[in-house]
Amino acid sequence: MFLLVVWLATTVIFFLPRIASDRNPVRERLVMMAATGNLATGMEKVVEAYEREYGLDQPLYLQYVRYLSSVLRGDLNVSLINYPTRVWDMIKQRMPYTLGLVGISVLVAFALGSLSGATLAWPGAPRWLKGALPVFLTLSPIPYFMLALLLMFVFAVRHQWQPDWWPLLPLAGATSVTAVYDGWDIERVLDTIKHSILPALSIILSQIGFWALGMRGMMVTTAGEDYVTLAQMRGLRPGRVFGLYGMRNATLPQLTSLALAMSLIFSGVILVEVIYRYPGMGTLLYNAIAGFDYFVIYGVVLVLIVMVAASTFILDIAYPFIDPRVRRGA
Amino acid sequence: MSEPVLSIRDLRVYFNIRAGTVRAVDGVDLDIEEGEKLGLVGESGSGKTTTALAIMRMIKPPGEIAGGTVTLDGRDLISLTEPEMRAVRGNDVAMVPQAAMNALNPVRRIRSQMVDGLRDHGVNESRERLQERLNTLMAQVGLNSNVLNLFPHELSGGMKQRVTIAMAISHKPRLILADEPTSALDVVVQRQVMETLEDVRAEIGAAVILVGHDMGLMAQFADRIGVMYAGKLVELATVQQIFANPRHPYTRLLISSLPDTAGKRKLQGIPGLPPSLLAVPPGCPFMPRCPEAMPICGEEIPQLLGDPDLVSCHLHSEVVAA
Repeated sequence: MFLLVVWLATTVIFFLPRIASDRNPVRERLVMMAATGNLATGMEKVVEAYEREYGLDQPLYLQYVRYLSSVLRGDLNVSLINYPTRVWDMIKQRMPYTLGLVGISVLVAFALGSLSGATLAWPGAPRWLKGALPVFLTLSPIPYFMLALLLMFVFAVRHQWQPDWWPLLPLAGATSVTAVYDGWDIERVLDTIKHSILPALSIILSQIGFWALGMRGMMVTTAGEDYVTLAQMRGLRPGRVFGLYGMRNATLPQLTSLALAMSLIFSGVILVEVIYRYPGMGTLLYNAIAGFDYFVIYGVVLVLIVMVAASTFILDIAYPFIDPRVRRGA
Repeated sequence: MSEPVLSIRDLRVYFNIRAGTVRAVDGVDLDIEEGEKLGLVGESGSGKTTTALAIMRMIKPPGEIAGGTVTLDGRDLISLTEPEMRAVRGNDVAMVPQAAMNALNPVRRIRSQMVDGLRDHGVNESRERLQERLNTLMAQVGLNSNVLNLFPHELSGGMKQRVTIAMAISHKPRLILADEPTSALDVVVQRQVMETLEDVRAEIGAAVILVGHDMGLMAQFADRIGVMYAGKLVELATVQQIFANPRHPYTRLLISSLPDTAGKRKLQGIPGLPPSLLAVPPGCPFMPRCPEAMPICGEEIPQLLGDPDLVSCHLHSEVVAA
């Protein structure tokens, strides 16, 4: 199932950009180089050589077979623009940033959203939380990138109306432009975290409302279940009833939604990365599309698909452990 | 007579909804002696379950206990704070719920759910002692200790109901409230579960309020039966008295509506519907359906009178007064 999804997605991704456009990235690259005076003569020959080397002169279906077989061998080929950098090396370098951003923002948004949603559905929810929900619900239909621009405007740019103590966060990048690091010392980690706050916040803010709303609905249903009522009538501590009898059950459908939402989250992250020039896979993909660098596009999309499919797969495998009713042969 | 275990005085439970105030329980007085088995019967909406929930203070909004006292062993439960009341629930008063199908948490093992109750009522023992305790409880309700390792969906309906009984007796409560504990079970299992309930009750000497509308079950189980109608107790008498000589016309109709297995009498219902609890007409709430209604019934609410068997009906008020 997992493999089928990856294969189908790879196939679609392979043909889509090739059918949609007949741009030739190699030629474009060479034209640009020629324009800057780096390469003057014999352009046609060079293009042909390139095309032969990557099989770009062959019929599309043969290219497809060739690409698929190289992918199966674990080879994502070489970037056409940043020749001779290998696509996998480019991805490898950027993957930790994307995974970190996605991981942290999804966990924080899911945890905060679910917890506040659950609290809201329970009697005696604090008033400030009741006030916070409409705010998060207002934020949730705003696309990530709009929210990112808004946050950038408010927290990364100096304005007249901002008081002196107003915190200004980095506008772009993953580390300070002036800083030079080798290895991961504490300073670099802190710098990276500081740079990740706004991108992460753009995702978290727009996600919290979604999770809170889903959880509130589930929790209202769960709160009416007989086992919650009996737990209360048995005189169990309110905290235990809330956590182990209420939330524990209401979280189950939430996890299914999380598995289904992973692809949406990833696509959102890509846009957010582009806006903050965050050196993750999203920015890489954006640049590759702009330069029509086939192999980088394929590589990034393939890795993204594998990541989404893997997270869905992991949640799918984990489900029987958290819900004994779907365990087989139990 | 000794001091009753539970004493309810003028208990009123109102539900404040947009259309007005629903008087679900409206002035119930009830005394339960030590170890007594009381059956509470009545049709849907008569307030029998609400009375049981009110004893536990488990009335949820928009409902509220509008007045009255519930005294358990000389302690007024209505005036307790919520944390104090929590300590009473499951400890002094325990509930055996209706529809045991969903009464257990589906994602946790029986053992964890039973231990939750013990822990939250201050039992802090070693693993071995705890296990011993659980084994004893399981044996008391006729279950194998292996059941502790199972999840609720792996148990049958009868087994689940036994688990809830085991939970209810874990702290040797003074009073057990059983709200139609067998309504979701077939008759064979029903009988077994009721026998188990009676056995453990006798063992720990608790009093029981059995809520239900199965008159046959009541006749087998209860010492006394209270008949409720429109939020009021209309008759309260020993089982023998209720069946041999029912005095309230509603009780009479209730008993004559039971299927007659010996004769060929046609199955009879009680014509009409109970009054809306939003606007109970003046006088006796049963008057519109009563075959023996008199002019006074529409004007004055009859009092619950008599000793020791009580009835609230104008047909009997003179007799009692005389």
